[in-house]
Amino acid sequence: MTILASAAYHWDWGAVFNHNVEKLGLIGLKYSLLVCALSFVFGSALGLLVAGLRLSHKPPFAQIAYIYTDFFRTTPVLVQLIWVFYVLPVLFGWTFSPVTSGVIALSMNAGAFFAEVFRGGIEAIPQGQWDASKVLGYRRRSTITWVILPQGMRNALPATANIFISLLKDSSLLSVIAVPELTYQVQTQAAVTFRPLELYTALAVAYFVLTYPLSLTSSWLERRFRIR
Amino acid sequence: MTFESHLGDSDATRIDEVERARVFGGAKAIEFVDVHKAFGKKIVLDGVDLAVSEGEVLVLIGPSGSGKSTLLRCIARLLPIDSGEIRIGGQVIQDGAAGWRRRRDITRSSGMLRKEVGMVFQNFNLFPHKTACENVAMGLRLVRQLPKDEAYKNAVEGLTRIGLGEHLDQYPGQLSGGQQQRVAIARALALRPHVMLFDEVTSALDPELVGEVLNVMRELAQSGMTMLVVTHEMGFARDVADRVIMMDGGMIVEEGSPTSLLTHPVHARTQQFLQRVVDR
Ligand SMILES: Nc1ncnc2c1ncn2[C@@H]1O[C@H](COP(=O)(O)OP(=O)(O)OP(=O)(O)O)[C@@H](O)[C@H]1O
Ligand SMILES: [Mg+2]
Repeated sequence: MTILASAAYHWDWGAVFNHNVEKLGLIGLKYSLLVCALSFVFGSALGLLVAGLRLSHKPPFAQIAYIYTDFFRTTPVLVQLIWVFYVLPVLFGWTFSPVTSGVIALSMNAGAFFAEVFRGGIEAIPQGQWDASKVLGYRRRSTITWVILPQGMRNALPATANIFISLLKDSSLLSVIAVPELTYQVQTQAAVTFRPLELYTALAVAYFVLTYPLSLTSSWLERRFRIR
Repeated sequence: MTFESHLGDSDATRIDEVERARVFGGAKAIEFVDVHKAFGKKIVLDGVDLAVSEGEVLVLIGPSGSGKSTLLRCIARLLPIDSGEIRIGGQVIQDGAAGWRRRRDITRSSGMLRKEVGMVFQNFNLFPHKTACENVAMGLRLVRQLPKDEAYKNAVEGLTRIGLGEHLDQYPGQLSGGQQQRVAIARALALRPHVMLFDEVTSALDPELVGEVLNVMRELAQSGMTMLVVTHEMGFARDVADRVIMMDGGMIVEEGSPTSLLTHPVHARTQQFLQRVVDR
């Protein structure tokens, strides 16, 4: 009976393609992209700092960086998000808006992944590059700025596209703290229209359309930078 | 092709010549005094004594693992030594017996000597994200602090001199191995070093590309550069070296003129080694 019932489901795409849903969808999209873009920028800055600390091998900093990356890579984003939104205010008395909390949590999370990607990119540089720079008399700072970072960033670039993909997907979790992003809009509309199947199908397609070009870009970058 | 101009006549060069006369005046270009170096328990340099004169071309031969690269890398200060002393132009650049404070002082006071030593590696170690020209110009800007246009002018001159004038804007990945190695030599020479170290610089090259690199080194030797060359090219050793040194087990087992050492080796280990190289 249930099988028959589901086969007989009457799809009504009017629930998706109407003025109201399209307008809310665009608002949601704007929030999703904004949150991702900010988290990408802050996360990459944080990741670069953390990678630098880890590679410095300086006693307290390297360990702190290590604990940070491992903590954020091994705990669920949803838990991190809820922690920032509900626990930080209780512990420290800081209250952030949902959007700010979301950006903080996603930046911290992306920062851990960025740190690993940058570290990998830099560690992949052959020792000979350091040796040559040293024999040429470059100072350590010059070596890092002109020899190591440009190559490390280039090595890391394809993987950063994957971080953006993860951010886009993870940003849907912000719906639980009522950030008006794409998933949140769909949730509220689904509750109003009783048409969750159409709306969530459209939502999945929307995420695919957003992330798939990035995934292609990533593999293109990988091919492009392998040459030299 | 000539290297006369690598001791060119710009102001910067003249100051260097004065500096050099002060630092090097009369002293040996390179001296090793009872140098020891180990990696963990593995002894790699076992009491090396060595003196290289100004303008001398020294070829180092010896079986794999005998410590040839380590010896060069200690001169280039890529590796610290455990005991003994290394001097460049009479000035101590490594003192194995020194505590950290003295080591720091040595590093500081001999900082200027760093650019006196140029090194070329087996696998080029060019900067892959920079063009040939940029590879050479970068050191001129960062180390010699030349303004951009002057650095590039010098780089173009240096590369043109070794026949790479056509390849200025190509990336290392677009050049043949021989061309890459010549860029690496130009990059080192651009800083006008006093001593050049070559560590098996033709070993990674296709046989037909070895000649172009050896020719550049030959010219350089004729221009009076002090050179330490690790190589398996016995022809080069015979033609160019003033002295050949045979290393084994971290020690210098035998040394002499190329003709005597390569044709009438005294030591059994030298005989065995040369036999193997010839057979190859
Ligand atoms: N960084 C290092 N850590 C540990 N052992 C090392 C290191 N570098 C070199 N060695 C060891 O020291 C010994 C001497 O190495 P070295 O590279 O100086 O030899 P070599 O004469 O240049 O040999 P080859 O002809 O193979 O280049 C070798 O046994 C090598 O395994
Ligand atoms: Mg070697």
